[in-house]
Amino acid sequence: MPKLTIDKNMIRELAELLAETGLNEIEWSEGGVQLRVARSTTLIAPLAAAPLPAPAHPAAVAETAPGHNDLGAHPGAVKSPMVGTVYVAAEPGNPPLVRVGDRVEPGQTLLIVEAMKTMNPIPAPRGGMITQILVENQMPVEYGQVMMLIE
Amino acid sequence: MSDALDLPPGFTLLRLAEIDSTNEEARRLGEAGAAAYTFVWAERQSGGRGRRGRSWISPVGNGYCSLLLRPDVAPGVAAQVSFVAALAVAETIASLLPVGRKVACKWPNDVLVDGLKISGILLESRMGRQPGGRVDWLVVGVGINIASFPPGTDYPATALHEAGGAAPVEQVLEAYAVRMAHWLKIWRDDGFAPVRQAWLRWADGLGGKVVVRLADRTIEGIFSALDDSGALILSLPDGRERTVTAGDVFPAA
Repeated sequence: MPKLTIDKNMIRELAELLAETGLNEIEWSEGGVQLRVARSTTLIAPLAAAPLPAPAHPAAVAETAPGHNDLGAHPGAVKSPMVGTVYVAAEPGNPPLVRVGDRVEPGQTLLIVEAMKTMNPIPAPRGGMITQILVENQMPVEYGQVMMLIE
Repeated sequence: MSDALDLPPGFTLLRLAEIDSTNEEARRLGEAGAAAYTFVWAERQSGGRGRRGRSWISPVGNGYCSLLLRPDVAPGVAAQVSFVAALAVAETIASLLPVGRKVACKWPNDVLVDGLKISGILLESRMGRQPGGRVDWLVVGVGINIASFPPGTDYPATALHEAGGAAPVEQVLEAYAVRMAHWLKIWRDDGFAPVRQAWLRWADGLGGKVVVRLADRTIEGIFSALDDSGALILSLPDGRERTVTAGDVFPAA
């Protein structure tokens, strides 16, 4: 069922192309799969739920869902600086570096993101309390993906 | 204790008889504001580390060094240095072995001799607190089996002397530092493309069946390409592709 396969990389590339070229919309199709990536004010504005694209392009909608942008605009959002794999503990078997409810200092290590055998401890962008952890140990993360919220 | 190393211009040597881990020492130096191109060399490590909490057995006679860098780039770009280091080590090993030995790079940065692991590389970086920020420091840790190798490892190992080379630790590390300086300059001046191209010429298993051990499971497929960021592209049996940024690659049985 190729139509239901979400090609995140392709969507990401198209989205990057949008940003680079300044275009508002790119449509791409191959082998019966059609992808449209569009940007509009409804996407950028937080909480502007919904009326984006057409039912024919569920993948693009899912990838650019307003909820994601919503969290991204949160001042205490901890975002992944790179594509990689996230770890919640310093080493396998260790307790998590932080848990929901913990108070953290600015710069304190919250998570580790690995790519290409490069380990990147993720520092707290600000002090406060961890209110949400949005990733699970060892899951892949994307560039800019919100991993935690600090209030 | 051995004589000092003859390192390329701009490098500063910190020579230690023993340390917990050269990566730890370089990280401490990075936090303390040490200059880029500080080269930490220890004759042995009491707590040598591999990826994700694995230990790296570190007796006297093998090479353990960590290079502190301060590239003004984002963490995703800094990770490309993984391949820079693999190239430098592969060229070093190849230059010190008899003709006929097959040197290869296993994704992303292990170096193999005739299919046996001779070197492991682990990088650590620290980014500033600003979102979208640059790395503050990057540490490139390299372990090279020279006089000995540990038995019973997950991936079968070898050492330079076992494989027919005769160079002592000093000569190996000096050659590595020269190759590292060379490839770092290319990476800095021309970006990742030439590094990626050169790495592909050493690539082990490219186009063949591999098993990738991820943190939580194992997947099998064809190692079909290296993407522009250095991630491994795995073609799965059902025709889909999977991008792997972290995992251990083994030849398929």
